[in-house]
Amino acid sequence: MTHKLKATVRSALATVGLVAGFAAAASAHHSFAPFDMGTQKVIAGTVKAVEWTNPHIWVWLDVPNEQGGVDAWGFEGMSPNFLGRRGWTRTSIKPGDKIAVTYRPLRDGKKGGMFVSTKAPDGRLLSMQGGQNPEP
Amino acid sequence: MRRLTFSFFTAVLAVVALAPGVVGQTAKWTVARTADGQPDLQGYWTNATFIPLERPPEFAGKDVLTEAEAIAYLKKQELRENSQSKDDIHYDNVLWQTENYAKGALDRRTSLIFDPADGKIPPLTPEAQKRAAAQAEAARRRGPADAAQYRSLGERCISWGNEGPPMLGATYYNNLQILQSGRNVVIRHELMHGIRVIPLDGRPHVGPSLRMLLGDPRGRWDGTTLVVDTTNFTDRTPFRGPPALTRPDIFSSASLHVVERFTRTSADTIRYQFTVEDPATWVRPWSAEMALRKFEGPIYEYACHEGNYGLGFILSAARAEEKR
Repeated sequence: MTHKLKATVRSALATVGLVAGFAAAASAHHSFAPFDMGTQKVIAGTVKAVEWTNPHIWVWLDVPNEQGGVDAWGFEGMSPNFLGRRGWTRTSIKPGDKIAVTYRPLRDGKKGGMFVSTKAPDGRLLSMQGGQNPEP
Repeated sequence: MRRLTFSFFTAVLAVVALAPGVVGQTAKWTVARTADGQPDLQGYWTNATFIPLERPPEFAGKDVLTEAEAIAYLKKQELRENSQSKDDIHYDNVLWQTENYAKGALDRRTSLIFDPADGKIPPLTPEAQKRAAAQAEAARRRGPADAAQYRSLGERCISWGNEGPPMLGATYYNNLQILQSGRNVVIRHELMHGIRVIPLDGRPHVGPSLRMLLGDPRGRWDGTTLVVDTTNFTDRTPFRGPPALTRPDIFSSASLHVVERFTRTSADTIRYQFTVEDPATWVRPWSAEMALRKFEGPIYEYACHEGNYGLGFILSAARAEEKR
């Protein structure tokens, strides 16, 4: 990448950062920069752990890999406060549950992303979607 | 929606009930005392408000709203806080911004700042203007995620700005608890689990070489008012401001000096006033005031740092982007 192009990219990123910063000030704990918000994927695995903490919960999934083992995938979710109002409890999904997670992937290519929704073992849809996109 | 309706109309009642100007004092009410004989400020309090720190241009020359204007302004701010783009799938603002109390309750003033009389932060000194220009230039030359220290103190789980001083509220969870031990007053904030311990024993401030993000506070009683004098700041004090009206652009220097006054004016209200001076930043001091309103606790743990995988992923996403 040329110096000039790099500077242009940096300037564009700075602008994005500035906008994201103000947006974050209004509505979020941190920037959405880690996630590819334009993509939605699904992956299945076994719940390894649920970190039920403010301001974001994290759900860790063991996902079978081609070598016959498992990879650890991590998904950032909403706060317990928010999820409680959406009908979640700290045991809605728990270690050992086999679930498929719909997510927005990490932009760095690592195994994980932003948690969007899943189905609980009893078949209920557990969603973290925003108010303009209520669960079906 | 039921919660939102509750919130708005409760707030409207609060607007109607509170007198314009300074936060009102109930005529026959007297403050309770702790076992040590101190005015009792203890309990859970919120400094949530929709009054902007500085007077907006639309209210220039007008320091107090009519009742109808105050209600319209409150509704506008609540709608602003609860609105979001259709692409924002992560947050449902109505759900996660709602508290168990009216967030927008306010008196009818158009700015928290009452001195200067125009409700505006005074102009920057020439030295501060140079500092601001240098910081802007440095920010322009680097990427937004070149290193963790260039991200906000909030994203780094260090401070949301609400601890202050001055305490200016945050985007959400504007909840704090005041405790009195006799020798100290302790202010515990939900965000970011920030705690200020304020000695009352008259000891002098620490030496000038010791610098702290929240400064070095000293408390004393002036009648029934707790006065807290804080010095020994760093140059990183975050000023955030009320929800939906945050002001990450305000900065100060290590010579910041803040004097806060806490006066309990009713069973449910503390009048919170503060004066900020920093001769290296503003041409004159400025003062503001707001109500701290009692609410039923508890305050939940905000384990921001423990779960902060997000900061690392912000940096790694930027590195991945640079390789493309």
